[in-house]
Amino acid sequence: MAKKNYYEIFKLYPPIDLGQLQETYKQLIFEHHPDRNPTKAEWAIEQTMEIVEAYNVLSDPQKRELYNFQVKTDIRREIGELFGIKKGLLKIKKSKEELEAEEHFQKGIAFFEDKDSWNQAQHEWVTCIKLIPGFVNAHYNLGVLYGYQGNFKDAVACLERAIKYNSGDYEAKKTLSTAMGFVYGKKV
Amino acid sequence: MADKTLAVGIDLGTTNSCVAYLNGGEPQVIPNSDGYSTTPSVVAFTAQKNWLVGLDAKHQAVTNPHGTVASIKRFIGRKLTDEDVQKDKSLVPYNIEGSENGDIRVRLDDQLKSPEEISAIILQKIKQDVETRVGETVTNAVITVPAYFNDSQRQATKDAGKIAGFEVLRIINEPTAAALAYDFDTKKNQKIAVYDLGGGTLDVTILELLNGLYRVLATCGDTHLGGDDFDQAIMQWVLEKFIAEHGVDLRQEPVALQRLREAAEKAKCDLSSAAAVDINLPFITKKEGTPINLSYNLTRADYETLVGALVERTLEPCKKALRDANLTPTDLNEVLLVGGMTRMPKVRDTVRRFFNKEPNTKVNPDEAVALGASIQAGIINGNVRNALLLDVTPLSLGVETLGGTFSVIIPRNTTVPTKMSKLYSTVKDMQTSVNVKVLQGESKAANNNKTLGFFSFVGIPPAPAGTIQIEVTFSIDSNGIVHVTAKNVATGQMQQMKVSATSGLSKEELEKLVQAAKGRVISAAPKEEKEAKPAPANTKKAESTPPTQSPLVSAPSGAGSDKSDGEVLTGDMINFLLKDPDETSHQ
Repeated sequence: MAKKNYYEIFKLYPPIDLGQLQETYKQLIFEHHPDRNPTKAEWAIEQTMEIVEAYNVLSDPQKRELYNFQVKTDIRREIGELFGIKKGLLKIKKSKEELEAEEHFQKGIAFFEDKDSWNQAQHEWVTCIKLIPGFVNAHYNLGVLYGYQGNFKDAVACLERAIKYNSGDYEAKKTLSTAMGFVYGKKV
Repeated sequence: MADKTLAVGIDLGTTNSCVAYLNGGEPQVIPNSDGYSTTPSVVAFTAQKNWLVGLDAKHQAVTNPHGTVASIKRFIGRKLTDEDVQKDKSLVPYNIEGSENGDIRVRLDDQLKSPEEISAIILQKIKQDVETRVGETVTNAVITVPAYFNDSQRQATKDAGKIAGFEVLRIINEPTAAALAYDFDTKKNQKIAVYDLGGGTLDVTILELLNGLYRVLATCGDTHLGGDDFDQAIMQWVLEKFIAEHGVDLRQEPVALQRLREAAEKAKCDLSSAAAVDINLPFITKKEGTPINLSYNLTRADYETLVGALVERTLEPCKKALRDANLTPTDLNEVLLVGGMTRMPKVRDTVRRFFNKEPNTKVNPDEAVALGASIQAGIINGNVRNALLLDVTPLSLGVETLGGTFSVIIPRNTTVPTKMSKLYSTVKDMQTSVNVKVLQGESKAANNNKTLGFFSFVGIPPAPAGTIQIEVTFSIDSNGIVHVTAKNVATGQMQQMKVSATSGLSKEELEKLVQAAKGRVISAAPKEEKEAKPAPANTKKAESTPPTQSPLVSAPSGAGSDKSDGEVLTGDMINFLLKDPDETSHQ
């Protein structure tokens, strides 16, 4: 990721409450400062420098806005780099609708290769879901696609649906957590 | 796991020093051997080859002008060619010379002493007095410096501590220490400014207090603006009047000048409460064999005119610090006053006007710094758990690049400890060393900044240009002291380094001085002299003392004060003063 995740350091997400940020900052410094960790000076200095850097940005409204903008640009890249889309097909006896849905699913994957045809990829996956609402990977891919585009609200909705249909989907949860940070200020 | 050994906090001031420790968790000042809470930062080497420190040294200053050193802090960590040094050189009665590498030396008798060593003598006296009071050996100390001190000045102060036999736990900034000492309601988050105007320096520091975390936002200052300059203004006024009246320039007479210096300092202090003072110096000099007396009356109004520009000058760092912190005076909850000079009504009015609020004077301005330093000592050895300091480096750190420009690597007001790495590569084939000149300051021209050193990274294996990469890491530790290391990126090996053009004592010189200090005895003034002097008037034992009391200077008249009646001339002194002026000036 091009930018460090300052929010992650504080485990606080936007919209940030300044009072909470200050309190967390104070706690983190007391935990990591070299004067409180005389036997781990090197580590303590690195940690403290990171915490100070993060606080300097997040506590200043102007710097925070700029940071948020830069991060949103990066997160699209990050979702792509870290998560990618899923290509697995339905693992059940397939009916006519299910086969049709899979066709759309695979077309969507093909369209997704080219950024200019993302709208078509989106259309394919939406069609797929209309046919088979339980098509987990289609929900997931849509979520990733929306994330790429910076539309985190819809990304969150899709990923939540993916988890609804497959509660053990670890990747969906991870992606959701990142996306939610930018929408609701909640963590999964 | 907290360290049980006693650690002290020392305010090594330009004019006065103070030491404190944590007594049962409460910061407390330790009185000196005379019972006062502050010790004048004065060192003397007498004709009998004795070392005197504090009031003892101050009291014989008039009869020993060349051997009595006050305000040595104005010279520590500086070079002889420094503009400020050139100015001060002619204003002090002791002789300033240069060492081989241009550092400052004071000529005492036939010896050349560094400011580090002279400061160490003050610290040694403090150490003695502390150990006498607490009844055990004390080694660990936190020593304070002005926030605006540069790397050389900090390193030199640390060296002074080492020479005196201390293990210097930390060098901390005076305004930050003072902030620690104020008993703030630690539940509230506050933004405060500390305005510290001492004997030789001015610091303005803006801090944010977050429930026990003291975080410095910005600091600015002037390392050559303080009480001494105010004394100078009064002296100048008197000298000019005397020349006009008698045609005699007292600057040529060290003894007269020293008496005048002490009179000016006393007048300055008295004018904080009196509306006018008399400056009386009988037998100040001889003209054609006849002794002349000096007697002038200085009103507060005239004094304020004399020093008006100095007071206005203190507002510049206030503005810069606020600007760097991105705040206005309204954003601040408190302004704290530290340093003896903040007792002056005009200074208080100016601060009140600028910050638009009543300054906070809860703690004694002479003791706050030492008390805070003792708290920091407690933080370091684990005894104080509910407070932490996050200080900053006051000056931008950078290197000289092509064309003599200054390229910033770590900007001023960066929180310390901090570090930054930069990649350098060779520019010529077979180049075996990479050189970097490191400086501190704010000027875009490297020449106008303070050179910390010329670093040569040697032993680079010969290779085509640009193929070898050296990663140079610049770090500033919690003391605000700079360290430079380098490593070969490809091999990961630490790079061999040669440093030159620095200030300060070499490792060998420092070791020698540490050893020499072990054998040094600091005397008390001989009994005879002591009896002739009455105890300084208006002083309280074991509590805060007006730090500049001296029985040798006349008191104001008509001010209704209960200060001493006039200059006390002992038999010795009178004989001395009636000597031929030619004899005395060649002491």
